[in-house]
Amino acid sequence: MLNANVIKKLVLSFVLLTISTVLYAHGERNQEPFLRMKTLHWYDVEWSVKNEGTLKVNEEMTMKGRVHFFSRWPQVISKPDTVFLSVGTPGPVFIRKFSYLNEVPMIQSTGVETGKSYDFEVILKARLPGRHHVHPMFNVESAGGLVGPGIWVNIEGNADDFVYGVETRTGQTIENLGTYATANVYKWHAIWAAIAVLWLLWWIRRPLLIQRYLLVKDGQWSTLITLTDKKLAATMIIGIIGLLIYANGVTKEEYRYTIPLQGGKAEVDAVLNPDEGKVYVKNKKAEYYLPGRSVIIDAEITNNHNLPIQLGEFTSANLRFINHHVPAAVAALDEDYPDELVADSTLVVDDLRPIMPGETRRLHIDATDAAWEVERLSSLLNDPDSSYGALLFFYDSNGKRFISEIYGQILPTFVD
Amino acid sequence: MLSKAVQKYCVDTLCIFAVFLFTTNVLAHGGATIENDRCVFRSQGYSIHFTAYQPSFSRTKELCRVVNSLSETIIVLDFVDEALRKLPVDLILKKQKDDQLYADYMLVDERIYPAGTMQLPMKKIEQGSYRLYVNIQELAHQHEVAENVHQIAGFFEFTVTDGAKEKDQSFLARSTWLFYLLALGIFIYLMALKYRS
Ligand SMILES: [Cu+2]
Repeated sequence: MLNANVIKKLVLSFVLLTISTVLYAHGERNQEPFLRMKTLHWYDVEWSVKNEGTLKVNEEMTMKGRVHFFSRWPQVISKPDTVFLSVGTPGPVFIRKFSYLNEVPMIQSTGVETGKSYDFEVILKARLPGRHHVHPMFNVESAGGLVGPGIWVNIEGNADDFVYGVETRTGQTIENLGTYATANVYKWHAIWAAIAVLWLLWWIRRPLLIQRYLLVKDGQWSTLITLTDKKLAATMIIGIIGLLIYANGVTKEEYRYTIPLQGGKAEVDAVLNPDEGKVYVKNKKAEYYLPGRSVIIDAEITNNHNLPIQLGEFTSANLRFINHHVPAAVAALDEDYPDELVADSTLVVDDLRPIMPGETRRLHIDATDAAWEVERLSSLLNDPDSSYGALLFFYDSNGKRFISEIYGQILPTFVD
Repeated sequence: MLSKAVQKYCVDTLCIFAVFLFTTNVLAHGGATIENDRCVFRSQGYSIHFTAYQPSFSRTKELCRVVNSLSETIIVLDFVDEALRKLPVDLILKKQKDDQLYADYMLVDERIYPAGTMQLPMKKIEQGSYRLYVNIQELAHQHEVAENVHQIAGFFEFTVTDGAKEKDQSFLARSTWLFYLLALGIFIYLMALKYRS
């Protein structure tokens, strides 16, 4: 009775879990807004394939750009001391051939500093045909996967044609890692399985439960194990240990150079930013005008640079709001950049006059777009942490870019 | 010491709770990704997201199929399909009359919404059943959808109820959940007794 209940409960829990995973299917929009606004800001992201472009199985693509780890990291998740550069795809549709953070190979995890930026590069090789959404992604300990902007890539061809060839450090060429030494794998699995089955059969062939139970109850359990049993067990122990030593020897003979799996963390330094502090930004007031889908920020900007500057871009949660009155900002937007992540004409700054060197000016910034709702960012207002974070891109009169963080509390409003 | 049965029930309840927490986390804003959200409808092949706000009644809550008061209402439409931002759109809000037919209630003239969002503010709203039609002026060969899908102007149906009446209900009527909770408590107690014996 109890067992039936337990099974029923397990099945029920499973059904519920399946429902939840179905909902998670394409998860980037389900993540809490504060996780998307106050953790990673990806910019200058480039793909070697166009959005909606096509690759054949075995063809490679590169994703690269810069990622900024927000200095006001959310308190509910761990600091990014253990992070892993990865990709967000629906399953193993690509293989990750190489990944670098500031040119350091990211085979292992690493730790990063908040408030700093890093250059990333990931090289992928197409594996499974289909239309896939591909993002750069960081797995952050205790926060999970934090994805960057994604593009759609179509992979054409036949999955069976996929080969992953490598050349080892010793100069040996492996045609395809997917099938490399599989015969050996099968052989050794078969050997161990055979030993296990023999051992099981040895015991199963005799009366199993009731008789043995009765003997144990009678206190005669020692009669259950015969002398032959003991002899066999001893032989097997010796045999298995011998087999292990032999197998180890054979392996060492065949693969002379091996390295242990690396458990340490890779060390990487942030990109140096000599312009830090040149543009100082202070959040004065921030509101989300719900019916208008507008984030409205009052901010005080101080220009410590020696040239006049203008606000050209506001970016948060992978959405880019471009100020069309600043040519350098418009030029920085690649026309192939995914449309749904760019608010083309809706960053409104009340005062377009350049901010002069040494000047402090209060700006009224209005970032309006349906994306706040479509990307599920308006649920920000129902979060226990109603704060926002974003990057502001300023451009000086020579078109040089300065990046500043902005953050603060944000309140809902119905009044424009 | 808790008896075994009680312990078992505690564990069960925790199990179910854990799973629920996991799910509600996802269901929090009325649906999953916007693509399969209940508040999304299609018109001429394009997806549009519907939200209604009643600031004085339910503050920032996003309402869609059921709107619970007659107070000031703001309907917001968000375009899920990017292509809609470039097309002129007009709205017709129709209300069901006594003869079951829908008659025009409010109109919004044709306009382009580059930010992909539009709002329809109303000082108050009447009780009843509504349909919001979205007409899209498509440019020739703009959108690659089968011809028949093209022509169908979709609508979003929602009902308006008078939430103020609910507020007037007696305390007992509003607190029926208390009785269910009590019944559940008694049930658990009886089951525990049964298992103990
Ligand atoms: Cu995606």
